[in-house]
Amino acid sequence: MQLGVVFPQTEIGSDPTAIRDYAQAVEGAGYEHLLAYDHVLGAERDRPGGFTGPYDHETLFHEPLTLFGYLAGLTERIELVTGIVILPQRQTVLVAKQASQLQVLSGGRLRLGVGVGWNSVEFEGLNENFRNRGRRIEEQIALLRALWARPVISFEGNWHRVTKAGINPLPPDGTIPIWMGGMSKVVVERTGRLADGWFPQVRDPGDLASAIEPMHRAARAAGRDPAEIGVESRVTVTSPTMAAEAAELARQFEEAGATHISVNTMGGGFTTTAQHIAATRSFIEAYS
Amino acid sequence: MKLTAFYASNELGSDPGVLRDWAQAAEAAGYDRIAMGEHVLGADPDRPGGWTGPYTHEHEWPDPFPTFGYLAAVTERVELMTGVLILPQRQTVLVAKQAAELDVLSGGRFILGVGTGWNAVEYEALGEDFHNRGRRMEEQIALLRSLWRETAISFEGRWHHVTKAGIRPRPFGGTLPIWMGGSHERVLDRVGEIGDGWFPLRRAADEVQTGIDRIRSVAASAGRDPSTIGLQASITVGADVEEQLAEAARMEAVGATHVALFTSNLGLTSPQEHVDMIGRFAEQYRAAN
Repeated sequence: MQLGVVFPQTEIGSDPTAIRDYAQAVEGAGYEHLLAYDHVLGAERDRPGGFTGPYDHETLFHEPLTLFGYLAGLTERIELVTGIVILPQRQTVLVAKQASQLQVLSGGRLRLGVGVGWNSVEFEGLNENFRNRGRRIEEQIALLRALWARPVISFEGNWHRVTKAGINPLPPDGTIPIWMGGMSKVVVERTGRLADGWFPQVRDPGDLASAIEPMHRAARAAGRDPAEIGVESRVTVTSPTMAAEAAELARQFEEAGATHISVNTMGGGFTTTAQHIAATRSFIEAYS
Repeated sequence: MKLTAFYASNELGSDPGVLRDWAQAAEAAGYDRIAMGEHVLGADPDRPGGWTGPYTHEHEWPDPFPTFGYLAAVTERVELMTGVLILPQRQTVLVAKQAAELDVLSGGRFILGVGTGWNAVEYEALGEDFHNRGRRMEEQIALLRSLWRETAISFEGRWHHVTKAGIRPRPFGGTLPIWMGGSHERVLDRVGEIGDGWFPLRRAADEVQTGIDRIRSVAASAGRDPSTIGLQASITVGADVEEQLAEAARMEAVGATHVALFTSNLGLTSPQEHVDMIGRFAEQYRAAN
């Protein structure tokens, strides 16, 4: 199983030196991927109708496609994973270009996790339609893959039109892995049909196998081999004493079908980068 | 006068080793700033109506946000400038976010150079309106500055709606310099009204003089101090260093605060030749000034 970390971006702050130290420390500790969440805008809670989202305008979110350029220059091996980019609120062609750019700069270390998001405030600010985001993401994925595969394409979709044009540079392998996040029935089906991997939001390893089953069924229905679709679970370590329990949880996720695990260290009140690094080290020691 | 090295994207490409070596060489040679153009897409020239644009799908243009993120990691001091980012074909809020991120990661070294572009094929693919791009860019700049300054904003424009929301991180100083490329009269007026600097591409000193005169006069009419507006001229001549130095002196005489050295379209065939040329120019410029 591949071990990675969730970049603790809501707690690490904006000092570039701390960000560098963190990324180099987790790579040095043996982690094989670093996953970053994404929100372009945060909403103020005081608004008509109220707001119950988990993040607001005070929450710090590094922009992953810029951040990963920085990290590509400071690390050697670690895979850089968006987990996830809210694809339907971004311009597809620009995501294709920036992802391809990162793939070139990082020597093939990008994994593009995408999802449909939940915050209509962001979609409004970015001038995209919140209501059709699920249908639109399928067309976006088709367009991303077409742009990555060929130097020139023409594409005529419901929401996109490209006329004999292309991006340059292209990703060296002609594509980039696309993973999906989300738990709704339609997302699970879409993942099995279209994606290279899945981030299920399942807290209990006992529930993972039954969550994967419909995703695999959708894959088989689409003529795909379910064994080729990755599954990434997540455990939380917010104090060194939690490491052993988290490692056991990770082993159970693996038995239930997870191919990747990310260790999250946010949410427990850490106030320094060193605490986040120590927590990731305690996990890897407990797991190995 | 400060020196800017302009990355020859089409000739040097995206190889991370080439980018790093070039940027570190520019920094070591004493350049104050490095700049990079961009196009999100290139058009296949084999199309109905033909093609007269200077670039096609075969020209490589690194995207500046991931690329400057990378260069922020491998340099220490040089400013990083888009020269230019075609602003009206991108989502304003995402540009605000990515620019702020870059400013934070680079320790305050980012300068946003913007322009309206010329290639309708890019606008179509990005789902933006080519025809109103000039007017729309003015609203974009107002929104960018508002997002950089305030923790949360409400913005009701003709083309943008933001409701009690904001970006974080925001730039160190609460804003970022916005420089503008282009030489059309409307562009000059816009620089005088709202720009932090002007960045004429490949224009001779007399044209730069005419342009900056107009900008200063518009700025004064708008109640701004014209001396706060930067001017980055570019060296348009070829490989002859003497002629480049004379051109630089002419640019300084018309009030340029920066001069950008271009090494593209000179028939250079290796990254090392580009590195050598910017190094030689900086050395001789310092010796002559």
